[in-house]
Amino acid sequence: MDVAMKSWELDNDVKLVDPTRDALFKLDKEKQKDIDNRKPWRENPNHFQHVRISAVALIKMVMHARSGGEIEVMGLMQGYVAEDTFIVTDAFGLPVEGTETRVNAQDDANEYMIEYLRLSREQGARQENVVGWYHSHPGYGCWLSGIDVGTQELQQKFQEPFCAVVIDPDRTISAGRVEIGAFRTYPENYKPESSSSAGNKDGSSTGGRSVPLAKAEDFGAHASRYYSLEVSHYKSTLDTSLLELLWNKYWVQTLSQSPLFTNRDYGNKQILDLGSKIREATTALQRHSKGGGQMFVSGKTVDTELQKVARDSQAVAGKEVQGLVATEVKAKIFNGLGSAAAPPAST
Amino acid sequence: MENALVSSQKSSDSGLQAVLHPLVLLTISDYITRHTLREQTCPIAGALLGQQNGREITIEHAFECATKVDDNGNAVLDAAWFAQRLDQMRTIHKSPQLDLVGWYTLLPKAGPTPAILPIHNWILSEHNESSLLLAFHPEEAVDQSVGSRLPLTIYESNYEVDEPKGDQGEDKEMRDGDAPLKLKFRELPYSVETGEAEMISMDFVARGAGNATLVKPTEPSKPKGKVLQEVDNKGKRRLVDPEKKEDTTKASDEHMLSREDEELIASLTAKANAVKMLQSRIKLLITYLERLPPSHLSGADAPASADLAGDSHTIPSHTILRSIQALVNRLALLVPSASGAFQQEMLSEANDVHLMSLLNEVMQSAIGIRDIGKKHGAVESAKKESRRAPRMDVESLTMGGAAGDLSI
Repeated sequence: MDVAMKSWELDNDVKLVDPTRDALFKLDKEKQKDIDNRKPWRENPNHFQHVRISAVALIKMVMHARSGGEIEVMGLMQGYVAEDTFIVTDAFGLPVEGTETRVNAQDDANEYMIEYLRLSREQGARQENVVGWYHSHPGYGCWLSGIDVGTQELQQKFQEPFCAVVIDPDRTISAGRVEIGAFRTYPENYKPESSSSAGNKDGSSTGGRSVPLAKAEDFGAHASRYYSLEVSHYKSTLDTSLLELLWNKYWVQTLSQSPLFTNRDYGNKQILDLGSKIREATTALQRHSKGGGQMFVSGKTVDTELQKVARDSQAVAGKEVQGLVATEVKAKIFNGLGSAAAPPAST
Repeated sequence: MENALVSSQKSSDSGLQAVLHPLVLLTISDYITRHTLREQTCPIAGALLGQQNGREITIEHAFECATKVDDNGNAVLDAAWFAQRLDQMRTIHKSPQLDLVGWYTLLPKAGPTPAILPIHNWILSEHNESSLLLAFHPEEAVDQSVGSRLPLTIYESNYEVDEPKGDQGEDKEMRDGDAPLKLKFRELPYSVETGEAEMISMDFVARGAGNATLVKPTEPSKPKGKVLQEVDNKGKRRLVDPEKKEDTTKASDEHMLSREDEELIASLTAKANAVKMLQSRIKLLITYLERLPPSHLSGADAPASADLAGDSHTIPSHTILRSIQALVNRLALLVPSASGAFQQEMLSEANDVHLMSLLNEVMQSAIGIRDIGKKHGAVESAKKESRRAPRMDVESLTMGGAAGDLSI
C-alpha cells in the first residue's frame, strides 16, 4: 500500500520545484498577519506600486474576460501582499454580469464568493485571501469608470489591502498582447502631488513604467482619483519547462519570424512616446534649474520621471536588439544556401 | 513489467480524441508547486473540465480537489466538497457549458496503479461514465530534451474481459455466465489546441519575465524602492535557462539579472531550441537519402550505401523524393535576387537598431551623470557649510575632511 501511495504523491527526489525561484508560491501566514497589523498603506496612499500576477491567474482572467464577449464580466483575485507589491496567485470569476449596482447581484456574488473561499480553504492548498477584483472593458481600454472608482474606494475602506485590475479582451486580441491595468484609488479629499512637468493627465505619479501619453487620455474624467500600478507576472520553474516543451512545437514559427518587421509600428510608437517624454523631462529640468551648481538639485518628481524614461529607453532598446538577433540568426542559417554549387559539406 | 491495469489491447481504436488546452497544464503545475512549497500531505488529485462533442473530448480547465481517507484506508475525493465545487465551476463556465470530463493525478510512466482505482471508480459511477484519467509524470518533467513530448499521458478506461495471457493455445475453461469484467486503461492520443485569447496570454506569459523569486527589500524608504525596481525580475520576455539552477548556492543577487538580459536569454534559448529542431529534421532527411538502395543513387555515394545490409535501406518513395528535390531547388530563392538591395536593407536595419542602443546608452549615461552631479552638489554644499564655521577646531577640519571624503 505504501508503494502504491507513493506513486501518486510527489516523490521528494524529483526536483520539480525550486524553493528560491518559486518563492512566491509559498504562503507565509505569519508575515501576512504582521503586515495586516501594521497596515502600511494607511499612512501612504501611494504605498502600493506593483502587482505581480501568476501565470495561471493571468490566463484565467484573460480567458474569462474573452468569454464574456461584449458583456463586462468580473471576478476576484486571491493572493497576498509583500511590502509594496500585490502578489496575485489565483483568480476566479463571479457569476455576475456587468459592474452592476443591483443589490441582488451583489448578494449572489457574495454568496458565491464565500462558498468558493470556504471550499478553497478546506482543500488546503489555496488559503490566500481575496486581494482584489478584476473586470473587463471589452474594447474601451483599461481604466476605471466612475462606478468602478466608487466600488474600489469602498473596497479600499473595508477590505484593505485591495486592488482593481481591468482587462480589455478585444484590444488584447487585436493587438496580440495582453491589455491589462491595475489601479488603486485615493481616499476622498486626498490631493495627489501633481507632476510639475506638463500635465500627466493621469494626475499623479504612476509606478514603474510610465503610461504612454496617448493612453493617459483614456483615463477618463475620474483620472485624478486613482493611480495605476505596474503589472508584471511570474511563473514557476515547472511552468517554465512545460511552456518550453509546448513552444518547441512552434519551432518553425520561432525561426521564421521577423520581429523587427512585425513590431515596427509598435516600436515606432514606443520610440515616439519616449522622445516626447524626454522632451518633457528636459523642460522640467530647465524649469527647476536656477543656473550653475543648482542644476542637479531638483524635485523628486523630475527624478522619478527621469528614472522612468531611462527604464523605458532600456526596454525599447532591448526589444530592438532582440529583433536584430532574430534577423541575424536567420541570415546565418538561410542566406547563401542557394549557392549549393559548392561541394556538399559533411553533416 | 506489465501493468495489470493497462489494457493489453492495441492502443485505442475507440475513436475518442482528446484535445488538451495548455491552461490545464499550467493549472496542474501551479498546484504541484504550491503543494510542494506549502508542504501539503494529501495526494495530488484534481478534476478536469471540458466539453464532450461526439467523439471529441476537450479538456479546458482544471481544479484541484480535496481528498480524504475513507474507511478502508484508501484515498478518495471528498464527495460533498466535490459536488459543491463542481457546481460552482459549472455556474461560472456557462458559455460554452463545461462539465466534468475526467480527473488528473501524478503517476509514473508505467501507468495507473491500484491506488487510484477508488477515486476513478467513484467518478465513473457518480459523474461521468467515460471519464478520462490524465496522468502527469513528474520524472519526465524534470528531464527534458529538445522536442520531447509533454510529460503526461491521457488514459481512457474500459471494462474489458480479463483474460490472463498465459491461456493462449491451451484449453480454455468454459466460463459459465459472464466473464468477469475488469477496469483497464488505454492510452488515448491527444492533441494540444488553444483558443485565441489563450494563445495570446500564454505567449505573453511564456516570453514575459519573472521567475517567482522573492525580492527581499533592504531597508525602508529610498533604497528599498530602488532595489525593488531595479532588481525585481519584471519584464516582458523571459524563459529560465534550466542550467541556472546552480546559482541557488551563490548569493541571491545572481538571480537578479536585469529585465532586458532575461528577455534576451529567453529569446536566445528559444532560438537555440528551434535551431536544434531544424538540425534534427535535416539530419533525418539526409539519413533517409543516404540509405536509399544503391539503384537509386549515382555518383560518389553509391559505394557507401551498398555496404549497408539489404534490409536497412530506406524505401524510396517518389513523392518524398520529389518534395526533397523541390525543397533543394527552393533554397536558392530564400535570398531575393536583388541581393545588393537586400544587403542594403539588412545593413540599414542593423544600423537602426545599433543607433537605438547607442541612444539608450547616452540616456543611461545622462542619468548616471545626473546622479554624480547630485552627489557632487551635496559634497560641495557640505564643504561650504563646514568652511563657514570657524576654522580653529580640529573638529571642523575633520568635518570638512569627512565631507570631502564622501564617497561617490
